[in-house]
Amino acid sequence: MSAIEGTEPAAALGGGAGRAPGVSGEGRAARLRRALRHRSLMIGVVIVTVIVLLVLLAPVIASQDPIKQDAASTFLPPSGAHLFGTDSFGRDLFSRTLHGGLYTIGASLAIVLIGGFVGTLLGVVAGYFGGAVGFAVMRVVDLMLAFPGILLALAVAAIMGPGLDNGVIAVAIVLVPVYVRVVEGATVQVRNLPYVDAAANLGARPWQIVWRHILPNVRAPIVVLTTTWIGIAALWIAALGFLGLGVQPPTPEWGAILNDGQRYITIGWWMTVFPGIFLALFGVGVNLIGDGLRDELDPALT
Amino acid sequence: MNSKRKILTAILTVGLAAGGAAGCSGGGDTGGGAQNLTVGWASPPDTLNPATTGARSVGPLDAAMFDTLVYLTPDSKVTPGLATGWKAAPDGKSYTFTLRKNVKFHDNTPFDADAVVANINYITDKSTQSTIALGLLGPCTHAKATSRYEVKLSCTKPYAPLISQLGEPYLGMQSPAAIKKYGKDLGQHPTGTGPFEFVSYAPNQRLVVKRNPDYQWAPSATGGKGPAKLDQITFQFIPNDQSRVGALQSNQAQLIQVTPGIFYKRLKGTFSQAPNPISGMGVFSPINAGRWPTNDPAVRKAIMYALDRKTMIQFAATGVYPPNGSPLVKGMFGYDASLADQYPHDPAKAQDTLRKGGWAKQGDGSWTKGGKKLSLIITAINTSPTYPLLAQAMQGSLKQVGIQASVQQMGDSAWEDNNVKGGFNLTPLTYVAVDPDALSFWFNPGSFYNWSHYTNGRLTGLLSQGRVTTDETKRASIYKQAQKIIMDQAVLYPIYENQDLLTYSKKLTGVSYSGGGFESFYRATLGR
Repeated sequence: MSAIEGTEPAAALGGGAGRAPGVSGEGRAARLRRALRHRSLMIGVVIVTVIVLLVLLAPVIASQDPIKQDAASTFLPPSGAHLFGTDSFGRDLFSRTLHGGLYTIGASLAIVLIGGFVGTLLGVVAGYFGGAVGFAVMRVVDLMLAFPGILLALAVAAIMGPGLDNGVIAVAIVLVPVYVRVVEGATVQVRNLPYVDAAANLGARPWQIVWRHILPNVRAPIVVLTTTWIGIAALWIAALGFLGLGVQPPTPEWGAILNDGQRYITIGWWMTVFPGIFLALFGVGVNLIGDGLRDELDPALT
Repeated sequence: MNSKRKILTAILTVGLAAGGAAGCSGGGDTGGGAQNLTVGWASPPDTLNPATTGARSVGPLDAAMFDTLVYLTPDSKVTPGLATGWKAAPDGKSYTFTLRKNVKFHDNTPFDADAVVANINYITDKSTQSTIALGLLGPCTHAKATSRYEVKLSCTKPYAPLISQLGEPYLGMQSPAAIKKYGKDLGQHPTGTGPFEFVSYAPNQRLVVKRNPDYQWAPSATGGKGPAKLDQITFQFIPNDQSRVGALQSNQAQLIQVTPGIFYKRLKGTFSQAPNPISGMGVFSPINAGRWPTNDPAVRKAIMYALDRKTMIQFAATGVYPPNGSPLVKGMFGYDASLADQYPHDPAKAQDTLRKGGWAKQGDGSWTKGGKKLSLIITAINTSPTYPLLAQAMQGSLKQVGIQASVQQMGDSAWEDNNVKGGFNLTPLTYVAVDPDALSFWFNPGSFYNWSHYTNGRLTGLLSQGRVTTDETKRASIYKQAQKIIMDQAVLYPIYENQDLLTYSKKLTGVSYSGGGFESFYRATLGR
C-alpha cells in the first residue's frame, strides 16, 4: 500500500498524459468524498452490499435446509412459510437462493482472482520484457481472444468435466487474455517513460521496477476490469450451471436453480423469477460499481 | 355483442361442416376436409432406416411407413401381418412364413419372398451396421425363398423370442429396389408397404408422410380396412418440453408425445390423453455389483430398502407413472407380481441390513466399514430431464438413511462409456423390449448391457434355457426364477412402468399403438 501511495511517478504519468489534471493531486479524503457523490457508484455499492449481506447471513435468515426434499410440499407458490415458494423437490427456494448466492458470488470472485493474477503477471512480463517472450505471449492471447468467450469456457468445462471447480477454472482461462491485453498495453506505455529508464540506470532490478513503478500505474485499469468482470463471471458461472456443467445437484447455485425452474416456467414463475432477480441485481450492481470506479480512478479511460 | 358473436360462430360452424362434408364426398382428397395432422415429436431420429436406427423413438415413425411380417396387438399377442401364417420346425431351428399376396411397396415393387430375403440379407450384412434390428433376429440370420410367397428363416439354434420380435418396427420390410438403389442413403428414402408413404424429411426439423392410397393389407388385428384416414402427418421434432407443450396449446400440433408429468396432470380435461405402455424393463437402475461399495450385497439390499420409488416418481414426474417392482414390467411375458413386495420402502430395515453387513453408523449419521465411508456415485444422462431428476430423488432417499451419494450428469456417449467401464453405482435408465429375453442382454457375461456388472452361473443357465424353450408355461417359469435371482441379489432397482404419455386434441380420435407401445396413426381421424 505504501508503495502505491508513495509513488511519485503516478503523478508524473497523470501529468504526462495531460488529460486529467487534478485527479492525482487530490487528497485521499477528497477523492472519497467525490466518490460518495457519484450516484451510480453508490447505487451499485448499496445493491451489492445488500445482496452480499443476505447471502452471507443465509444460515441465519434462511433457516430451512436448502437441499431437504419434501414430497408433501412441491410446487408451492410464495407464502409466509416459503417466502420464495418451493421447487419440484419441495425444497425451500428462499433458502436455496440465498445459499446459492454463496456459490455464484464465491465462484465469480475466485474467477477474477485467478484470471486477474495470471493475466496481470503475463501482461507485465510481456509488456515489460517484450522481445520474443512478449511476442509469443501476445500471439497466444490473440489466439484465445479469437474464440468467443463463452464457447471457450464451455469447451474447457466439457473437457475437464462438470463441477464448480472446473467451471471456475474454465471461465478464469477465458479471462486471462483479457487481462493480459489490458495490462500489457498499460505496461508498454509506462515502460517507455523516462523515469523507468532512470530507475534502471540507478541500478534497480527489473522486478523492483515492475513492483514499484509499473504496477501502481496499471492499477486503475485492473481494478476497473476486475469489478466489471465479477458481474460477467457470475453470469457465466450461472450459464455453466444452467447447462449442467457447473455445480452438481443438489447444490444450490443461481444458474442451476434457474435451470431447475425453467422446466416449469409456465407453471411456477417463482422458481425462476427470484433467483433470476438476484442474479440480475448482482450483475447490475457490480457493473455500476465498475463504471463508477472507472470514472473515479481513471478518467483517461472514459 | 354476445348474440352477434353467436351468429358468427354459427355461420362459421355451418361453413366448416359444409367443407367437411364436401371433403368426405370427394373421396377424401384434399379439400375443405383435409385431414392433416401435426405431431410434436420429442426426439429427432438418428436415421429413419429401421434396420440401422438405434433409437427407440424412431420405432413409431417407422411403424407408419413400414409393415412387419407379424403384427403385435397392444397386449403383445402375435397376429398375422405381411405373413398370413407361419410354422415352426419341430426342432425349433427354422420357421416357414406364408406371405400375403398383392402387396406392393410405395415404389410399386411387389412384396414377395425375395423381398423378405433381401431384407434379412441387408440387415445381417456387416456393412449395414445394424444395431437393434440385428439383435432382434438373434441367431436367425438366414432366409431362403422356398416359393414366390413362402420364405424359410433358419436359426443356428432355437430362438423362442423371434416370432414376437418380428413384430417390432425395426424389422419393417423395406423395398428391395430401394435398398439396392440408395445404399447408405436409405435412411433418407424410407420405402415400405405401410399405411403412410414418405414425403420429406428435414433432419432435426420434421418428417412428413402422406396416406398410401393403395393400402389394402392392414393387419386384421388393427380392426381397420383399406387406406388410412389421415391425408398427411407432419412429425415436428420438438425436443424441448416447454415448446412441445406450447405447440399443443397453440394448436400448432394436435398431438404431443412424452408429455412431462406435471403438464400431463395440468392438461387433463382440456385434451385427450393416453398413456401408451412401453413394454420391456421399464425405468430402472442397475446396481453395479462390480464396484465398491455396491459389490457388498448388504449395501445393495440396503439400497433396495432405502430407495422410495413412490417419492421418486412424485419428484421426477409428479407421480403420473405406475410404480414397478420387478425386473419385467406388467404385461410382459414372464411378469411376476409377487416380486414387487420383496423390498418394501423401509429405511429402518435398510439401516438394519447395513449393520448386519458389518457397517457402523457414525456420529454424523454416515456409515463406515474398514475405515471407508459409505458413499455412492449416481450418474444420469443429461439429454433427458427425467433422469437427472430421478438421480436427485434417489440421492434424497439415500440421504435419509445416511448413505451419501453424489450425482453426476453426463452426455449420452460419455454416460454409456462410463456404464460399460462401471464408473458408477446407480444410474436410472430405461430398456425397451417385447420379449423377456431382454434380461439376457443385461445379465449374460460379456454382454454390452451388463451394466450391473453381475453374472451368476445359474442365472445365465436359466436365460439361455429361456431362449430355446418354446413351451409357454415352462418358459414363463424360467423367467420367474431368473427374476427372483436378480431380485435376491439386488442388482437392479425397478422404478416405474415406462409409458409414452400422449396428449392430444379432443378432435383427434383413433390413435392407438401396437405391442411394445409403438404409436399407430393408421386409424386416426381428425373430427370437427
